[in-house]
Amino acid sequence: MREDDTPDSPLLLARLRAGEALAFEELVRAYQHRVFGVALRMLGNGAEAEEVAQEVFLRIHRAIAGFRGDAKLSTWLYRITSRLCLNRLASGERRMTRRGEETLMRLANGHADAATRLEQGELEAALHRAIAELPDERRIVVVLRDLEGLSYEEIALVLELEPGTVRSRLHRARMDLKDKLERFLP
Amino acid sequence: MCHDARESFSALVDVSGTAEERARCLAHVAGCADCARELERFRATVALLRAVEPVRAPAAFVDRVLEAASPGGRRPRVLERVFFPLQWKLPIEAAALVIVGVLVGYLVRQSPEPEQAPRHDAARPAVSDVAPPVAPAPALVPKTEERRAVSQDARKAAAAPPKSLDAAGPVESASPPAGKEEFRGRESAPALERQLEKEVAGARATADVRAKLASPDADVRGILAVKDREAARRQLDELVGKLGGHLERPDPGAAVIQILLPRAAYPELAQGLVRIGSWTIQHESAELPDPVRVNVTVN
Repeated sequence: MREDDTPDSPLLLARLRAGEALAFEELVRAYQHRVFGVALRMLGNGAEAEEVAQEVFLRIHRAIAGFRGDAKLSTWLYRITSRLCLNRLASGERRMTRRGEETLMRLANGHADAATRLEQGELEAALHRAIAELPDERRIVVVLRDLEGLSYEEIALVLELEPGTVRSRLHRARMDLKDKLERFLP
Repeated sequence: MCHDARESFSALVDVSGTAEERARCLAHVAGCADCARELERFRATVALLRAVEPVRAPAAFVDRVLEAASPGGRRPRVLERVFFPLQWKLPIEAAALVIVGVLVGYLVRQSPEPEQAPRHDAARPAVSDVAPPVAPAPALVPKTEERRAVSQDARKAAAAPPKSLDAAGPVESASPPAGKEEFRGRESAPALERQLEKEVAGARATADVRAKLASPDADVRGILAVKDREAARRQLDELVGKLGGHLERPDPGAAVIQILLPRAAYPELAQGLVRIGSWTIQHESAELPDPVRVNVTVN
């Protein structure tokens, strides 16, 4: 990626609008982990997450010429990701494969060394299970805020919610998690 | 009161909301052990969430996205780009190979490689049947009987206007025919040099014969080889005028120019001719009369 081509830079956006293939590749490279991460946290299944992440980028690719640039490119990416995930979660067929913590647990355990794997594995399994058990509309807020680091305002734009609603849902989600992780807390 | 304070935990952790709200919450927590413990657990929960390792997209995810986004649905590999679709590209590539092969073969045949020179030399007689590469002079020099007759005619012509000589054709008539040029293109460098020497010799012989035919009584006779005949003619005209002589045949088309000038000026004329071109004396009388007649064949 060029020096002045941060993912949200006007230059990258202009290159994307001009249909420059390399610009699109740069965008995918820059956001692949974040988009996939949100999808995985929301769906809990690697294959599904990849499917959704790929669809996100394809939609961007198809619609970039019409992107007005009112919001940041990253906001648009998160919005599409969130919508696709929530729609999929709301669909009837999705509920059959809802038990997706296995993928998250494998991912989490992969980072721990042998000595701490057992303890960390238990904690992280509990954490991911707790996240996965959150209501969808709360889980997405926690994921965007505490895992992706978006601000309240950005989350409000992504989810097209009032900032107060975001704050409320986030607080409820954190309180739920605190209760579920009680045995790991001081 | 505890409920309101706990609702503000996120505002405290994220430093959001109003400063007044956060201050109220902190004031309550300072005096409420339960809420203080709950705040501590709340902070720990958020810390756990934020400590979760970021997820990485699978390997080759980018490639798969780019393939899916490409116009054909996927990006073709290099070999696929070269060979597919086979029914289109294979015949085109085969035809291109044949064309390149033919071109290479043609160029190899045309190139004057040293080892091919003897072969060309050996083949020359066959080609010379079509276009003799050398000896234009014998073709122009009459046979013995003819030469005598021509010599007599030439003596007559010496007194006549020179157009009869010009009508016989200028020296360039000794130049090889077009067919020979084509032959020469395939010659090696040494062969070309030999051929060129023969052609020059032939041309000189032709000019010599013409000079004899045109002016057998000249006191001095020679060939002036120049690059630009017209320029040489002008220089000669100036030189002769400067030396007090005159050109007896100054018409522009004449190949042989007769100069008449005082005997004393002849050495200077000879020097001037050398400056104008390559001056070769073919005949010079042992005793020069005054005035001296000099025949110059401009070649």
